Amino acid sequence: MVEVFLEDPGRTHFAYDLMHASRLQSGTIYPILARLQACGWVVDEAEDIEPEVEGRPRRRRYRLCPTGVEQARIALAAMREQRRSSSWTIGLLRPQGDLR
Amino acid sequence: MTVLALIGAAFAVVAVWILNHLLNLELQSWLLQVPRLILKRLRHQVSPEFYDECYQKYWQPDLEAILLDESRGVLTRFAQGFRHAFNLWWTRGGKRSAETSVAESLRALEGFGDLRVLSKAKRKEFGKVVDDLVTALQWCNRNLDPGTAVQLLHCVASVCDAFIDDRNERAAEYLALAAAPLMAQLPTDEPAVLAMRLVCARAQLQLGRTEHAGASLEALLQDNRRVFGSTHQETVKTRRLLAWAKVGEGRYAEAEVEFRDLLADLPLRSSPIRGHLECQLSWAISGQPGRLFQAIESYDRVIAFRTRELGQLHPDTLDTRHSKGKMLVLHQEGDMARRILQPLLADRIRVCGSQHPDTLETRKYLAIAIALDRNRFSPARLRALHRIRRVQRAQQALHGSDHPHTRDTVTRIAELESAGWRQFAR
Repeated sequence: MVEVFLEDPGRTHFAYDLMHASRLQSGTIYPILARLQACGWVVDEAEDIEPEVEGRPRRRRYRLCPTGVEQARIALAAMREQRRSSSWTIGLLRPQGDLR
Repeated sequence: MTVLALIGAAFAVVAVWILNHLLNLELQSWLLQVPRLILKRLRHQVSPEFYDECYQKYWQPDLEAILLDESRGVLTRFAQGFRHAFNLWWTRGGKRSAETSVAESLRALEGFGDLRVLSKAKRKEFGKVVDDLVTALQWCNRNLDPGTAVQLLHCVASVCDAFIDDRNERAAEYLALAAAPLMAQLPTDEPAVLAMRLVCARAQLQLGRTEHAGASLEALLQDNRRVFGSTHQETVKTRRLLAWAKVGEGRYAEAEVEFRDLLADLPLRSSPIRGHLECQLSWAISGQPGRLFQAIESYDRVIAFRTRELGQLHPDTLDTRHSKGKMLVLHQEGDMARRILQPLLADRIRVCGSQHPDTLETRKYLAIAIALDRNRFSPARLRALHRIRRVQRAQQALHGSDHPHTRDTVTRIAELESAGWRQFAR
C-alpha cells in the first residue's frame, strides 16, 4: 500500500481507491491506515463536499506527509535491498528446499 | 369497442411498467440496504467506542459513497458495498484479525524449540507460523490492547532470538522491522521493548555491524540497569553481547576481563548463560598472543560442561567444538583442527542438516584445515579449495554476499589462492 502512496506522494487517496490499487480488503486496509497514521507517515482529512447536497457523509482521504514520504522510501529501499541480498525475506521466511 | 380495448391495453401496459419500475426501485432499495445492515451488525462484535469512532468517521462514509455512486449499476454497487461491509464484519473491523492472529500465533509458536534441530517439515510449519505472526503485526493498530501488544512483542523477541541462533539474522531483522510500529506504541522502559532492542543489537552484531551494535548495546545497558538492576538476566545478556562486540573490534584483553567479571557474578553454577560466557571467554583468550594452549584448555572445559549439561549432540555443544576447531585453523594447527572438525561435520549433518549455515561453516573450516599442511598444488589441497568454493556458493544463496560468513569464505579463498599460510589472518 505504501507503494501506491509513493506513486504520486502529493496525491490524496480514498480508502476505497487504496483497496482497489493494493488489492486489499476493507478489513485489512483500515487497520493498516490506522497504523500508518499512528506512525506519523500518513495524515487524513475530510472530503470537500456538502453532505446535505450529496446526500452522504464526508469520507476521509489520506496522503503521505513529507516525513512519511522520506521514511516510506527508506523502508521500501531497505526491503528491496533485503530481497535482493537474501533468500530469507517477506514471503520467504520458510526454509530453503534443500534444508533437512 | 376496438378503441376502448386498445386504450385498456395501453393502460394495462403502463400500469405494468409502473408496477415493474416501482418493484425494481423497491428491490434496489432493499438490495442496497443489505450492506448497511451488515455494517450495523458489526456494532455487536466490537467495543462501542471503537465502533462509534470508526463507523461514523471511516466505514459508513465509504460505504455510502460506494452505494450512492450513480455512475455504476445497482448490482455492481451492491456487490462492492457487500464486499466492503462483509469483510469489515468478518474481520470485526480488523480487530478480530489483530486479536485472534496474536492469540493463534502465540499458541502456534509454543510447539517449536531450537530451530537448528528442526526437521524440514517442521521448518516449513514454522515458516507458516512466522508468516502468520507477520500478518498479526500488520493487523495491529492503536486499538490493540496494551497487554496483548506486550505479549506479542515478547513473542516476536523470542522468535527473533531463535532466528539469530539459527544464523538467520536477516529474518530476525525483518521481523523486528515489522514490529517497530508496535514498539513505538509502548513505553520505552517496557521490558518487551528492551528485549526487542537486545535482539536487534544481537542481529547487528552477528551481521558484523560491530560499531553500530556496540553503540546500541551501551544505551541499552544503561536502560536495563535502570529498569531491572545490575544483576538481572537481561542486564547480564546485554553485558555479554557488549563484551562480544569488543571481541569483534579486536579488544580481546578487555573482553576477557568483562567475561570473567560476568562469570564471577553468575548466581548459579549451571546457569544457561554460563556456557555462552565460557565459550566466548575461550575465544577472547585465543585472540591474545601466546595463549593458544590456555584457550584449548578453556574450550575443553566448556565442551565437557555443555556435554554434561546439554548432551553431546546439542547444537550449543557442537558450536563449542566448532569454535575450538576454527580457532586451531586460525592458529594454523591443521592436524589438531582436522581431528576435531572431521567428526564434528558428521554430527552437524546429522543434527542440523547438510545445508545448515553452521554445517557449511564447519565444512569450510575442515576444508581449510585439510589444505593447511599440504603442498600448494597437491590434489588434496585443490579438492579442499573446490569444497570451500562450493560452500561459498551455498552461503551466497543462503545469506547473500554481504553476510559475515560469506565474506569470511571469500577472504579465506583469496588467502588460500595467494602466497601461503604465513599470511593467513585471524
